[in-house]
Amino acid sequence: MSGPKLFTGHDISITNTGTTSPGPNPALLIAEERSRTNFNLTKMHHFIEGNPAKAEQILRIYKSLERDVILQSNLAHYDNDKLTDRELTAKRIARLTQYIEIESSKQFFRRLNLLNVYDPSTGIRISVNLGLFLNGVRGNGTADQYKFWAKKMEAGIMKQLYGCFGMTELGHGSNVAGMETTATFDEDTDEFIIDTPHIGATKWWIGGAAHSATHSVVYARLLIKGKDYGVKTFVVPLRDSNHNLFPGVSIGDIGAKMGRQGVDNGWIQFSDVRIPRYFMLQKWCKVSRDGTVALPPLEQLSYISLLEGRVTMAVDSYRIGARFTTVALRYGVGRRQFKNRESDEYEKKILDYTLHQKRLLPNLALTYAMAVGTDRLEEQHEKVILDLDTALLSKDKKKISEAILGTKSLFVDSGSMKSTLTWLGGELIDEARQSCGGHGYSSYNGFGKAYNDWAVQCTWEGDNNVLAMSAGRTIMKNIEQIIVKKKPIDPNSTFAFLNNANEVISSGPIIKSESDLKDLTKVREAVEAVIIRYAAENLQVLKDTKGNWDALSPQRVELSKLRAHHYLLESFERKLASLNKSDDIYPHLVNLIQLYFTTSIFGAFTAQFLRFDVYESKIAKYIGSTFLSESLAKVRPYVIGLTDAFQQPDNMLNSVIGNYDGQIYENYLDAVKNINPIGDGKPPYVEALTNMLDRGSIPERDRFEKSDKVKDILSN
Amino acid sequence: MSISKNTVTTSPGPDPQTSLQKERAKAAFDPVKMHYFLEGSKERAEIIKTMTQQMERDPIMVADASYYDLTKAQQRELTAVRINRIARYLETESFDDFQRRLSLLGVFDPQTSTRIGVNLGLFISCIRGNGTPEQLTYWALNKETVYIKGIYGCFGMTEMAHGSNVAGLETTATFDEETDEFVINTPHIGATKWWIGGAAHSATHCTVYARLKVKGEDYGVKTFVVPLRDSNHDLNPGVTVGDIGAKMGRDGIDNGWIQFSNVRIPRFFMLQKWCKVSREGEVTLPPLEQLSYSALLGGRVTMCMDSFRMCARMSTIALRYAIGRRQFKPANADEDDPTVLETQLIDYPLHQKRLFPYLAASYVLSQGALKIERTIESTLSGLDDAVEQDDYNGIMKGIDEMKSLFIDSGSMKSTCTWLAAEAIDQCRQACGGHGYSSYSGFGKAYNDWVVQCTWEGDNNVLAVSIGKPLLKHVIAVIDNDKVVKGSSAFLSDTKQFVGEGKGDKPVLTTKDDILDLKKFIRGLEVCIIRITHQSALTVKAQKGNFDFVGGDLVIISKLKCYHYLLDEFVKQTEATEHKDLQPYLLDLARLFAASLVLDRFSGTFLTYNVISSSLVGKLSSEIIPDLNAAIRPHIATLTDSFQQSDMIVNSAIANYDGNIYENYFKTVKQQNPPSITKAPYSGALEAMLNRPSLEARDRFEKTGEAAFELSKE
Repeated sequence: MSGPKLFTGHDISITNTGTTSPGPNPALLIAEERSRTNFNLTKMHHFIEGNPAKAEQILRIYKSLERDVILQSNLAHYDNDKLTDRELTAKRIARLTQYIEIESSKQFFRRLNLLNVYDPSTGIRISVNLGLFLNGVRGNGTADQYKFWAKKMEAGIMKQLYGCFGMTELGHGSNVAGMETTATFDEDTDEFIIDTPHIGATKWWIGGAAHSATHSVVYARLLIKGKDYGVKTFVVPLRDSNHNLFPGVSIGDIGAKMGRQGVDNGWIQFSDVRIPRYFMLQKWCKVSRDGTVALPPLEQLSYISLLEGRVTMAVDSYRIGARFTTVALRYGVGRRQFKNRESDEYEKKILDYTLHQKRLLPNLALTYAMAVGTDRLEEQHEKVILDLDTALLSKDKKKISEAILGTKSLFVDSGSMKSTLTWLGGELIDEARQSCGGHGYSSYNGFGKAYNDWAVQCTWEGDNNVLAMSAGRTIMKNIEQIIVKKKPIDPNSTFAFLNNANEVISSGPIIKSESDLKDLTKVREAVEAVIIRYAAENLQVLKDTKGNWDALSPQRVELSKLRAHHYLLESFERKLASLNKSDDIYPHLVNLIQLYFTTSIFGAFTAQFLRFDVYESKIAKYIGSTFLSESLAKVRPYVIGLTDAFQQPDNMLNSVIGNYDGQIYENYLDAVKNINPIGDGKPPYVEALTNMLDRGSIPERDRFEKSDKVKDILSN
Repeated sequence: MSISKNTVTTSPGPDPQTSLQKERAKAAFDPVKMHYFLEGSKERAEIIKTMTQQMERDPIMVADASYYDLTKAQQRELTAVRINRIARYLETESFDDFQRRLSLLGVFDPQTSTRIGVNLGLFISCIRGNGTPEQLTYWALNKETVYIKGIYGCFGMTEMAHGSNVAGLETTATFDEETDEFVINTPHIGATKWWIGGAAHSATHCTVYARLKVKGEDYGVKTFVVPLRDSNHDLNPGVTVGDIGAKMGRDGIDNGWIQFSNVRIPRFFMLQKWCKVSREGEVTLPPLEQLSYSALLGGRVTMCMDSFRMCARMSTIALRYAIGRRQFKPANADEDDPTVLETQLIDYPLHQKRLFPYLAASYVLSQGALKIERTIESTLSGLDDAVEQDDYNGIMKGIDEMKSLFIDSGSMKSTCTWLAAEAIDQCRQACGGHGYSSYSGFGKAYNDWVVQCTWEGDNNVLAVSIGKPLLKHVIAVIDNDKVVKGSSAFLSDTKQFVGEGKGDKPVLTTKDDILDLKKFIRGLEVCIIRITHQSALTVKAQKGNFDFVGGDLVIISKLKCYHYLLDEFVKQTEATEHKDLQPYLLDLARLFAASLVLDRFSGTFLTYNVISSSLVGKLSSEIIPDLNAAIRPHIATLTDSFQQSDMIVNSAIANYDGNIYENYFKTVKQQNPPSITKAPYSGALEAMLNRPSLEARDRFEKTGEAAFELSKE
C-alpha cells in the first residue's frame, strides 16, 4: 500500500487563499498515517459491531441520518440557546415519527441509539416516551393495558399521546420505595386520587413534562382504607387533546441544566387529580372494585423494564468513546508542536510524545473493549427478556426460575457495566478534550457539549454509586455462598466464574513471570483472583463490624468496577477466539486488548493487585514501564486506521478538528467565520465599551466637588 | 391532616433547614477565627468580607440565579457592563486590594475577572516584563490602561497552530529600515492569532508575539504593541478580527482571532527592555531575556488561589446539601415508623469518602496558595531592585529564586487546577440529579473552570517541565553529591533511599506513620525520591530521552505539589495563634494525606515499596473512615468558615439557611414562570401528535383499492 507523497517544498503560491509562507499541513500527515493501515477496515468494523449484518445496518442508518436535512448534524447548532434547542429537538422528533411508522422497531431503536451520539437531547426526549413511559406500562401493566396505551392510543408511534415517566421527586431519587406522591382509592367513585402532599413530593426532572407530555406514568403510594401498600404505578393524563393542562395538574419548566438543554424536563404537582381505577397499571398488583388489594409474588420483576436504559447507556459509552478517540487521535496526528532538535525541519507530531500516547491510546483500547463487551450485554439483555416472556407465558416453574436466574445476572451485570462505563466515558471525553489543548475548549469541536450532555448518564436511571454498591454487594454475597456456605453458584449464572474461589483465595501470585502477561487467560484469571480475594477480605471486615455494609461501600464500588472490566476482558477473549489467527485484524486486536488490560485494569488498580499478591512489585514496575511502552508502540502506528474502523462519518463526529479529510485548520477557521460573521467588527453592545474607555476623569465625574477650590469654599 | 403555612401541605415535608441549623448550633470552634487562618490574617479576612458586602449590594456586580439562564450575547454584554462598573472601584483602591477583589469576583463570575485579567494582567504584565520602565509608564499610566480607560489591551500570543511552543510562533515582525517601522504579518492560516481574550469586541491594542526579522535574519519571538482599533473603535486597516464563537464555558469573554496583513507600527512600539533594535536595524540581545517570561508567572499564582476558593465554594454546596438531604431509612429501622427519619446523605461512609477529601483540600490549598503569592511578590520585587541597582549577586540570587518559583508555581498551578476541576465534578455528582440543574452552580463552574487546566501553560506540559529539573537534581546528587536547595532540598538525601538494600525498605508501616504528618511527609519525600530516581535511570537507559518517562514526570510533579502544600500547611498550623483550631486543622491535613495523596497514589507507593501492603489495606478499612468520622461533627462549621455568602456561593440548593427545597423550587419558578403553560413551539408538537394517519398522508395510494387498480393487467 502506498500513500500520498509528503509535500516538502517551500514554494509559495496562492491556492484557496494567499499565503506568504507554507502553513501546516495536517491533512497530509493524517493521509500518510492512514496509508499505513494494513488490515481490512470492513472486517474490523464487523468485529467491533459484533457481526456483518449489524455493521451494515449501522452504516445504512449513518447514511440516512447524514442525508436527512432535519436529522443531520450541524456545527452551527453548538451556538443554539435553550429555546432554539428545544424547538430543534421537537422538529427532529416529528421527523423521526415518519421513520417509526415505516421501519422495524429494532431498526428504529438502532437509529435512535446512533442519533444519540451527536444529539442525545433528541435521543432521550424520545426515550422517555418510547423507553421509560411505554416500558413502564409494559413492565407494570397487563398485556391489554399495554395494547391500549401503546397501540390503540398510538403512543408507540408517538401519535395522539406523548408519555413521560413520573418517578423522581424533589425529595427522593434513589429511594424509589420512599416516594411520597399518594394515590388514594375512593371507593365511592371507583377512582384514585393522585396528590402531591408537600413540596418534597413534587415530581422533579420529569423529561418531556414541561412541554411535550400528554400522559405520565406516575409512581405513587397506594393508599386504601388508611393502609399504605407502597409505591405502585398509574397512568395519569396531564394535558387534554388541545394540549392544555388538566385542572389540578401544575407543571413548570425545570429550567437551565448543565447539558441536554433540548430536553423539556419539568416538575409536576398534583392537587387531588382523579383518575379511573383502571388507569392503575395492574400486571402485578391489582385493586378490585371494593378496594381489595392483591399483591403477587413476582412484583420485583416490574423493575426489569428499567434495565433496557442501563444497557443502552453502556452501549452509548462505547459510541461516545469511538467518537472522541477518533477526533483526538486525528488531531494528535495532524498537530505538531516543538522540534526535537533545532535542526529538525518539522516539529514533532503531538501523538509522538509518549505522554500523549499514554493519555489517548489506552482510551482507544478501552473503546474497543467496550464495543465488544456492550455488544455481548445487548445480546444478553435480548435473551433474558425473551426467555422471561416465554417462561411466563408457558407458566412452567422450572423455566420461570431459570429465567429469573438470568434476570438476576443481568441486574448485576448491567448495573456494574452502566456505572463503570458511563464513568469511563465521561473521563474519556474530558481527557480527549484536554489532549486537544485550547482547541478542545471550542464548542465546534464537540467536547464541551458532549461532556455536559454526558455527565447526567452517571446519575440518572440508577446513580452510579448506588448501582455499583449494589453490584459489589452481590459479588460479596456470591463469594460468601461459595466459601462460607460451601454452595457453588449456578453454572448458568454469569457469576459462575467465582466458583473456584476456594482454591484461588490463597493460591499466591497468578502472574508469575513477564511472559504470563502474553496469556490472556492468565490475565483474566488474575482479575478474577483480585475480585475473589478482595471480596473475601471485605467479608471478613463485614464480620468484624457485625454486618455494617455501609462501611464497606467504597470497596463495593471498586469491586463493581473490577467486575465490569472482567466482563469486558472475558467478552473480548471469547470474541477473539472466534477469529482465525491469520486474519489481518487479529494481531491488532491482540495489541489492543493487551494495552487495555495494561492500563485500564493493571494500571488503574495496581494497589489491589499488589496487595492481594496477584503479582509482585517487580512485575508491577515491569508492567508500568517496559510492557506499557511496548504495548503503546504496537498500537501507535495504526491509530488512524483503528479509528477509521469505527466508521463514524463526519456527521456523527460533528467536530471541526476531527473531520476525515484532516484539514484541521482550514475547516476550523471556515466554521468559526461562517458561524460568527465579522460584520463591522463591533459588538451590539459596543457603547458599553466605548462609554467606559472614553469616560471623563474622576474629578469631572465628581463635578469637581473635591477640588481645592471647593475645599476652600466648604471649609470656611 | 392539612397544614396551612406559607403553602398548604397535607403532610409534613422534608425539613433540611433544621438539620443544618442543628449541626451549626453545635459548632466546636469559631468559624470567624477559622476564616482568619484560611485567609492568612484577620486584616486580610476583614477586607475580603467588606468587598463581598460591597459586591453583593452593588446592583451591577451582584450575582443571582438569573446568571445561569443568560445567552452568550447577554453574558458578553453583562460582562462589559460589569467591567465598566468595577473600573470605578479600581480608580480609587490600591492595586493589591483590587487584585483581591478580582480574586473574589473570580469565584462567582470568572469570565468578568478573566476579561479584565487579559488587560490588566496579561497585557500590562507583558509590557512590564518586556518593555522599558518608560514604555510601561506610557502604555499603562499615560494612556490610563491600568484604570481600564483610554485603551483596552489584549495578549496576542497563542496562534492557531502553536500554543505550548511559544518559540515556534509564526507571526512575523519585519523591520523596514526605510520607514523605521515593523511590518506585522500573518503569513498563513496556522499563524492566525487564536483564542485572544478581548480581541473580538473589546481590545484597542494587542501585545503581539512575533518573530523579529531584520535584514533577512530571524531573531526569534519578541513582543510588540500593535493597535487594533482606532479611537472610534473601528478596526485599523490590515487588521482582521473575528469572534471565536461558542466555547465550552466563559461565554462572557469575547475571545477572538486576528490576522495581520502587513500592518505597520513604529519601531518604538516594540517592547525593548531586553532586546533592542536600533534605527539602523542593529539588534542587541542581552543575556537575561529569559526573565521576560516572569510576566506569565502571575497568572499561575492567581490560579492557585482560584483553586482554593473554587474548592471551598463547591465543598460548601455539596456538604450543605449532604447535611440537608436524606435518603433511605437505616437498614434495621421499622419502615412504617414515621418518627424514624431517613439517613442524612452525609452520614453514609461512601458519601464522606467522596466529599470530605475536597473539604480537606480546600483547607490545605489555602495555605499553599498564600505562600506562593508571598513568594512571587518577594521574588519579583527583589529581582526588580537588583536589576535596577545592577547588583550582580542580587540578580543571580533572584534568578535562582525564580527557577525555584518556576518549579513550585508550575507544579502547583497544574496540580491544583486539576484538583479543583475534579472537586467541582465530584461535588456535582454527590448532589445527584439536583447537581445537574444549572441553578446549583456546578455546571457553569465546571465549564468555566476547566480551561484553567489548559491555558497559561498546559497542565501536562507544565508538569513534565517540572519533573525534568527534579530528575536532573537526582542525577547530580547521585553522581556529584549535589546539595539541592529550596523546596526540593530533600532530594539531597536520595542515596539513603535508593539502590541495593535501601531501595525497597518501606518507610510507612504503621498507622502512626500516616497520622504523624511529619513522618508522612518524610514518606512522601522518599516516594518522590524513588520514583524520580527510577525515572532518571530510565532516561539514562533511553539515552537522555525524557519524553519516554512523561507519565512519571506528571506523577512526580503532582507529588511534589502535595509535598509543598502539606509542608506549608503543617507549618502554618503550628504557627497559628488560634491554638484551639489546631486539632481540626491537623485532622483535615491527615485526611488530605491519607486520601488524596496516599490512597490515590497507593499503586505508586506500593510499587516503590514506600508503604507496606497491609497498611494500604488499613487505609480504606480503618484510617480514612476514622478520620472522616472525626471530621464529620464539624462539617457545617468547617464550611461556614469559608465565609462565602449566598451571593458568592450562588447555588439554589446551598443557601446558608439550609432551606434547600423551598429555595430551589422558588428559583426554578422565578426563572421559568409556570404561567406560560405552552412552549412557544408547541405548534410543532401538537401538529405531530394530531397528525393524520400514515394512510391518509400517503393519499391512500398504498391501500387495497389502489393495489387493485394499479395491478390491473
